[in-house]
Amino acid sequence: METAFNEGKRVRRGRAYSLERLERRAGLLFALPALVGFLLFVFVPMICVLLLSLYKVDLMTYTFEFKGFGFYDKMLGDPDFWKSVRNTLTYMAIYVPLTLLLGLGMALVLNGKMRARGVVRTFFIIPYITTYVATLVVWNVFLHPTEGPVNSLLMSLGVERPPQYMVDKHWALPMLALIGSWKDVGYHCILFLAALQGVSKDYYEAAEIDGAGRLQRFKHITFPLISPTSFFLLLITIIGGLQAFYQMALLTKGGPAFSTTTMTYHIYRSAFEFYNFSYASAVGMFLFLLTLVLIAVNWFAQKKWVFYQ
Amino acid sequence: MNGKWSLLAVTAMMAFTLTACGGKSGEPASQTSGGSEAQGETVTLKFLNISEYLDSAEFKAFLERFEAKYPNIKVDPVSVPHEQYINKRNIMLASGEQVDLIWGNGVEQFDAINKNFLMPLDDVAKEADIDMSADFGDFKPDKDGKYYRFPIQQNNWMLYYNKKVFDDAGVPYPDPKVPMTWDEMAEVAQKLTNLSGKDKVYGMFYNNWGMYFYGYGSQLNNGKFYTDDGKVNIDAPEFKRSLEWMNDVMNVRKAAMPIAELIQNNTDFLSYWNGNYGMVVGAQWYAQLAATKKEQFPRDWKAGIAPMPVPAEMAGKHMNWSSIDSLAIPKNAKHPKESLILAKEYVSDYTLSTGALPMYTKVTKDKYFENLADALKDDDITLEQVTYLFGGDPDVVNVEEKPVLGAPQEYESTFLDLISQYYTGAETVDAVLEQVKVKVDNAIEEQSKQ
Repeated sequence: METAFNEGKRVRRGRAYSLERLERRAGLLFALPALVGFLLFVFVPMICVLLLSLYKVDLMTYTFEFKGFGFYDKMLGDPDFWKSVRNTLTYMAIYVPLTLLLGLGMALVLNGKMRARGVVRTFFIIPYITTYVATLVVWNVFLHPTEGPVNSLLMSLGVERPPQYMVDKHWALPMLALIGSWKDVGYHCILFLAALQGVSKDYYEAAEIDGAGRLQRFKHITFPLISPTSFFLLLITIIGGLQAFYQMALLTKGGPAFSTTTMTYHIYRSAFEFYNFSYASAVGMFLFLLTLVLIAVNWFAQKKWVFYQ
Repeated sequence: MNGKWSLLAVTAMMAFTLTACGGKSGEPASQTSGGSEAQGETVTLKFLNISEYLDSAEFKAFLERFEAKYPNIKVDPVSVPHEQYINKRNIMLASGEQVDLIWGNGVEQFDAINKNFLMPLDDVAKEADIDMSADFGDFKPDKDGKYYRFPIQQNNWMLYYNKKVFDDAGVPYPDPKVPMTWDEMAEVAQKLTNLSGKDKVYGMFYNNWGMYFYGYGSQLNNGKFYTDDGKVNIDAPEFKRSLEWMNDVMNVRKAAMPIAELIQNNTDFLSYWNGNYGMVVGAQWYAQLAATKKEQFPRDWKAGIAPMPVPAEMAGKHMNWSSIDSLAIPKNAKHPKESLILAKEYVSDYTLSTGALPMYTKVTKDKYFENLADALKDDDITLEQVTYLFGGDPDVVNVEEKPVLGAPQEYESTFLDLISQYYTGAETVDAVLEQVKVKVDNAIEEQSKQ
C-alpha cells in the first residue's frame, strides 16, 4: 500500500517535473530570438570594442598591435576627452530633470478634469513620434539668429543683440538639451499618466477626509505610488542623456568651439573623422562604465524612495 | 557537469567573438595586381567619387567608352553627394572596406597619406605606362620621395561676379586682367550690398571653408601654414590680417552674410548662383558645376570673371590658391594596376568633358579652352579670358590653398570650429588663433608619435 502510494507520488512528481521542464524549454525557446539578437548585436560588438581599445588596429591589412591600456592613458591625458565628459554631464544636468519634471507636470495636468484630453495627449506625444531630422529642421528655423520667430520676438521687444544659439558656445549646449527634452517629454508624460491613472482614488478620498492638502497628497500618496515608473523613467533618461548624439551631429557638428561635443560625438569624430578607432573604443568603454556606475548608484538608491506595492 | 558546459560555452563564445571581430585574415594587397587583365580575368573596380562627377551623363558616356576599350575591367561607381562625401570616405577607409580608387582634394588625400591608408604609386605606375615625374608637369612626390596621388586637376581660382548686381548698383565691372586688391574688393562689396529689399543682396558671397578666411594671408606669406620645424603657423601676422579683413567685410561693412546666419542656414557653396550676391571668389568648379549648367542653375543675369583679388603688396600679380584634386589607391585595393589604368583614362578622357583642365600633359589644352569659352559665350566671356584664368597663364603665382602637411584634417576642422567665435564677437582674433595653434600642434605631435 505504502509502496503504491509512494509510486503514485513519484509519478505525479515526475509529471510535474517534466511539465516544469517543458515550460522552461518553451520559455527558453521564446527568449531565444532576443538572446541571439543580444549576443550578435550587443554582446559581440561590446567585446569587439573592448578588444579594439587594447590594440592598435589597421583594418585595411588586419594587423593588430597590442597596446595594453595605452589608449586609455592617452584618453585620460586628452583635454578634449575631459571637455566631452563635462559637456555630457552639463547636457544631462539640464536634460534629465527637465524631461522628468515636464513629463510629470504634463501628466498631472492631463490626469485632472479637462476638455479634449485625448487631443491634448496626442499633441504631447507628437514630438516623440516625429523623426529627429524633421524635429531638428523645425528647431533650426525656430532659432534662426536673424529671421527665426524667437529672435524676431526678442528684437521687437527691444533686445538689440539676441542670442545666436547654435553658434554661441554658451547657448548651444543648453539649447540642444532643451530640444532633446522637448522631443522625449511626450513619452515620459504618457508613462507618468498611465502610472497616475493606476493610483486608486480611495487613497485620495481617505486622505481628504483626514484633511490632507494637495501637496501632502502628492507627497504621501501620488509620488510613492508612481515611484516605480519614476525610477524606470529616471534610468532611461540618464541613459538617453549619456547617449545624446543626433542634435550634435545634425545641428552643430560638436561646435562651436567644441562646446557641444558630448562623449558620443567625440567617439564618432575620433573614429570616423580622425580614423582613430582604438582611441574611440577606449572612450566608448569609459562611457559604458560611466553608464553602469550611474545606473548602479540609482539602483541602490532606489531602496530609499521607490515603493513597490 | 554544469561547469564543463559553462566552460565550453564561454570558450565557444570567445572564439566566435574573436572571429567576428577579426573578420577574414586577408593578406594586404600586393603592390601590383599580378596582371589579371593579361590573364583574361574580368576585374571589377570600386570607384568612390562625388555624385556631381559620377552621376553625370558625361561620366556614363565615359564608362561606356572605357569598358569598350578595356573589356576585362568593369567599374562599380560609388557615388556620394558632396556634402556627405568626406564622412563616407572616412568610414570606408577607416573600416577597411575594399575600394579600388578614391577621389579627394589635397587635405583629404594628404590626411590619408599621413595615416597610411594609401598605396605608393611609383611601381604600379611603371606597369601602367605612366611617368609620374613627367606626365603631370611640375608635380612633386607627396611623401618620402614617393607619389601617392594621381593628379586630376589643379584648382584655378578667380573672381566670379554678377553683372546685374553691378549694374543695379551702378558700379563698374572688375578689370578682366588686373586683379583688385582685397581692400578694393571690400569697398566694392559694400557698394553692391543692398539689405533693404525683400531679397537681401550681399556684395560678397563666401563659403565656410578655411581659405575664405586665411587665403589672403596665404598670398602674403606664400602659403606658410607651418613653421620651419613643422608646427602650426596660423598665428602669423599675415593670417591675422587676413582674418581681420574678413571681419571688416562681414561685421563692419555688413557686405557679407553674418557667419551665424551662414552656418545656421547650412548654406551650400552653390548658393552663390541664386543671384543674390555680387561677387564670390571661386575656382573652376563654379564654371563646371553651375555657370555652364543653366538647366540646373537657371539665371536671368550674366556672370563675369576676373583674376582673384590680391594683397596691396602683390598688386598687379595674377595669383592662385593652388590645390590639386586627385585620385588615389587605398593600400588594400585588389587591382592597383587596373585602377591606375582607370585613373589615366579618367583624366585623359573624362575630366575634359567636365569642364576642367587635367594636369595630365598628354591632353591638349586648346580644345578645353575653346569648349569652355563656347559654353560661357552667353555671359560675354571671351576665349582670351578663359585661357588666362582657367589654367593657361604660365606666369600665375601659385600659393598653397590649405594646410596639407601635418594633421591637415584636424587643422581645418579645428580652425573652422573656432573661427566663428571671432566673427560672432565671442573671442578676439588672437585668442582664437592661439587656441587653433595649441590644439593642432598637439595633433601634429600625436601623429608624429604614431
